[in-house]
Amino acid sequence: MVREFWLRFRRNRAAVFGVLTLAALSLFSLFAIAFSRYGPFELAADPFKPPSLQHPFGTDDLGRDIFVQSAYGLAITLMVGAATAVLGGLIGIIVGSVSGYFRGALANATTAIIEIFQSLPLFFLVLVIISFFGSSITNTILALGLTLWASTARIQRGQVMTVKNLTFVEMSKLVGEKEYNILIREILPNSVQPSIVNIAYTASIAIVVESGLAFLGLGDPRMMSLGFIIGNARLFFFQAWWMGLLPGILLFLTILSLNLVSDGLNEVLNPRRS
Amino acid sequence: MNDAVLRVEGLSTYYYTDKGVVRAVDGVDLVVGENEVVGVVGESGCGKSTLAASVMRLLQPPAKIVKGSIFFRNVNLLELPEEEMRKIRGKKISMIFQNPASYLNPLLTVEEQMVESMTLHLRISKQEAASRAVNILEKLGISAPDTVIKYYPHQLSGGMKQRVMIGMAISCNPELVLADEPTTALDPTIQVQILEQLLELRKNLGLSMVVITHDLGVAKAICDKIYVMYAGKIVEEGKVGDVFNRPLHPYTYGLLESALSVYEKDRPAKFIDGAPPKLVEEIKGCYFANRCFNKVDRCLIEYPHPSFKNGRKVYCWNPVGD
Amino acid sequence: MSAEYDFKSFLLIKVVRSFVMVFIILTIGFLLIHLAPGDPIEFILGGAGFYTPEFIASVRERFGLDKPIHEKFVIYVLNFLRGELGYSYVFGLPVVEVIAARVPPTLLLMGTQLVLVIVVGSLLGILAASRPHSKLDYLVSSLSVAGISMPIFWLGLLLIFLFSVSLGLFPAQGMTSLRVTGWWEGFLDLLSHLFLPTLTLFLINLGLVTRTVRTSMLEALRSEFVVAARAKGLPERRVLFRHAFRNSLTPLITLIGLQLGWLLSGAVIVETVFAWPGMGRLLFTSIGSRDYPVVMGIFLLVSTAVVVSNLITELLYAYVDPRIRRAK
Repeated sequence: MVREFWLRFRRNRAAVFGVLTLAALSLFSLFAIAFSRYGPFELAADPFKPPSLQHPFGTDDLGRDIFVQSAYGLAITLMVGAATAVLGGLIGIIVGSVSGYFRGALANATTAIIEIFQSLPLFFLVLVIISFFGSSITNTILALGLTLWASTARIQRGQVMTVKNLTFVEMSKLVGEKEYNILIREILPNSVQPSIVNIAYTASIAIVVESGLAFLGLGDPRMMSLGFIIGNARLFFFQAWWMGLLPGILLFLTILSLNLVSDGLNEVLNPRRS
Repeated sequence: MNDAVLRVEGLSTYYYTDKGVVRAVDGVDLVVGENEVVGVVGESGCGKSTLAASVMRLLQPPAKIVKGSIFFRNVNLLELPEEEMRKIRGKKISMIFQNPASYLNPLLTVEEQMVESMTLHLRISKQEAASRAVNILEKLGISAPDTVIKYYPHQLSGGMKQRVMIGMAISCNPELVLADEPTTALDPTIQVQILEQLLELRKNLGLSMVVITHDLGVAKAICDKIYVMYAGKIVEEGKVGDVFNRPLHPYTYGLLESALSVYEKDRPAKFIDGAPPKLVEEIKGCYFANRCFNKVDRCLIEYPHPSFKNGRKVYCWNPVGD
Repeated sequence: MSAEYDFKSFLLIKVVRSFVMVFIILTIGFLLIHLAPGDPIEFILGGAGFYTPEFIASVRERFGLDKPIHEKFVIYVLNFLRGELGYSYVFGLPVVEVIAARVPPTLLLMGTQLVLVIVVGSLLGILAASRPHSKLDYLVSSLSVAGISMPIFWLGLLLIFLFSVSLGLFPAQGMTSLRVTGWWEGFLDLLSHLFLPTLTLFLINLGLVTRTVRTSMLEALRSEFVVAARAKGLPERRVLFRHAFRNSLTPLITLIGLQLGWLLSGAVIVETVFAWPGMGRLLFTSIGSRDYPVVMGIFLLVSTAVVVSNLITELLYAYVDPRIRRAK
């Protein structure tokens, strides 16, 4: 099955480009962090030095190395995306499955909760949470994960409702299989693909929101983030274009690759398309 | 032959899919005379609908007309520029579709849909077109047409939708109507009503028609001449009475037998075994050979040449009853 | 049951649901204020140190902060219904007044941008869908993905660099210039300030709209009533717009109506980048100056706006599609 998946995924050249770019960006970040001589907050040279061999991305207003900063920022960006995807994805799949499989009060309550979260203005809610509870990377991830699960849950709910009426599920009910066994062994593996596609999209939304927060100065002050670097560069854009340009390209590439991969997954995993 | 309304010659329409080339229509000849109703009969998937879409030039990729010509009143439609063809569609040649529920636009009222082709082709005002539409619907047996005309399709019953569809097709006084399975999606009682409606139209308006159907009863009820189509090719043609009384091609014979076994209870059920060949494969010999009860060795080697008999034509090396 | 009745009860259910939704949003706001570390008075008054103890006591009284939690909640809801959202210590004004002054610039920016995006995005989407797999389609699709993936603040900075710093064509900050006289000059000045923030939002959202329209148009163009429309001999333009586009409007309405919150979040960042004196920039500065009542007030206002826009969306569905309307 994995082989067949890859064969079909491979046909979407944009998605393959996305996977390769994401891999390259991760490797770049890892190696740059491992071999860098400075920390992201450490003064490395004179302020406002344009890109050179020694400092490929130049230095910022305090003389910190932007190449090193970007490597750290990229790591944070990817981590926030992954953590949110895992957290929001798990919540979404669990709530959605429960809501789709069971009937009665439990289903109604979960469905209502999904609907409520879907119509909350996410970014504003996250802004309020960060502003009231303080800006740390944990708070950001929690706020994002706890708000970004609803769309996955809705998709999962619909899938489970379809799959639970299929013959093989009815069969195992007749054989006397326990409810949660049916849900976990029979229904989940056969319903989760569209949710996975959505989780991939969620990761890119999380990165967009996180970088926006960091740009506004609402990120974790102890963590170097791509959004923060660009936010800082904004004040000096006229004298030092490199401060914002190159980190921005990295951020753009990250989000673009994620979107391309998500589109590719969507084509392969979403049955409605074919 | 020059008084023919429609003359299709050697028409081939292929679908270029990922899995190969599907020869949906493969070298088809067909003639429709003045005030004549011609049936094209065959199983679903034999290429009948593609044939109709080819005549209208309504094919979308991956379908493509690869060769042949389609003469309408001695003008080759395949050589017309798109703009000229557009002026023929809906005006001189119009079409009735299989499933009125999905071929009517759900967001426009009956009036809006009927009026738009009349104002376009007949160059009359909206008001004139609307009153014409009411007249047509009334003639088609719709009571309270001036109410119905304000309805959206979902407010109509299946039979009413098909009447509206027919009304749209005849609203600009076409010379040729292509009806693609006009009764298939309807309840049996409604089917009869619609068939009667079509017969009456033919009588009153002097229409020429091509009726595409898998239902031999429909063909028998309204056609003068029929073409039997199998796997993209015409296998037999002739007057309705001749073909039904004495089918020559084993496929026609099989079709009739299985149809009769449905209508007459004490007749033993006879169905044609097997499935039509996938139209992707290149086949030597007769396409029907793998299912044929009457095949001879030659059938597997060479595609049959046509043989003519009393104004009938059949593509078979070993016709039934010889 | 008459068809008329069906539509009315449909409407009623939607309206009731919207009220429930606003109530839930209030609850979330209330919970956040009381769960957050620190004295809740901070979130009503902002920097409490600014005020005299007597005033603080009177506010505690008015917001029922000494009462048990369920009474506090009732008072909080009643205050919201009266438009009592607390005071901004930064502006020395009630929160409602502070926010109200900032709504028009945001409406101007969002409105201009939305109209442009919907018109241009729909046209591009229709064009791309009418020639699938053509070079144009490929170009439009690629630009859409790029637009969706572009960090909005970064694009804003690039545009400032290009149009403002390098070319000197458009102002990069604010909504009006000082020392402009005459209404015509004032209008042109406003337009030139509007240009860059609008362009930024436009480019970001264009991809979203184009993509949505393209996908739904492709589906509509495959449907059989489009074949029927072509069979009538209608000109292709009429087939595209009257038959296919009308039937592909629902996803577009969904995108605009249900994603209002998301569209407004773009405005927060753009208003900050371009110092546009709207609600988004107010939110940003208020977070910076810990003007919590304003932050909460904007959250409540935006959430309510989103609920209202969801309701309008449902009504628009019914307007566009007679099958939902089911009226005579």
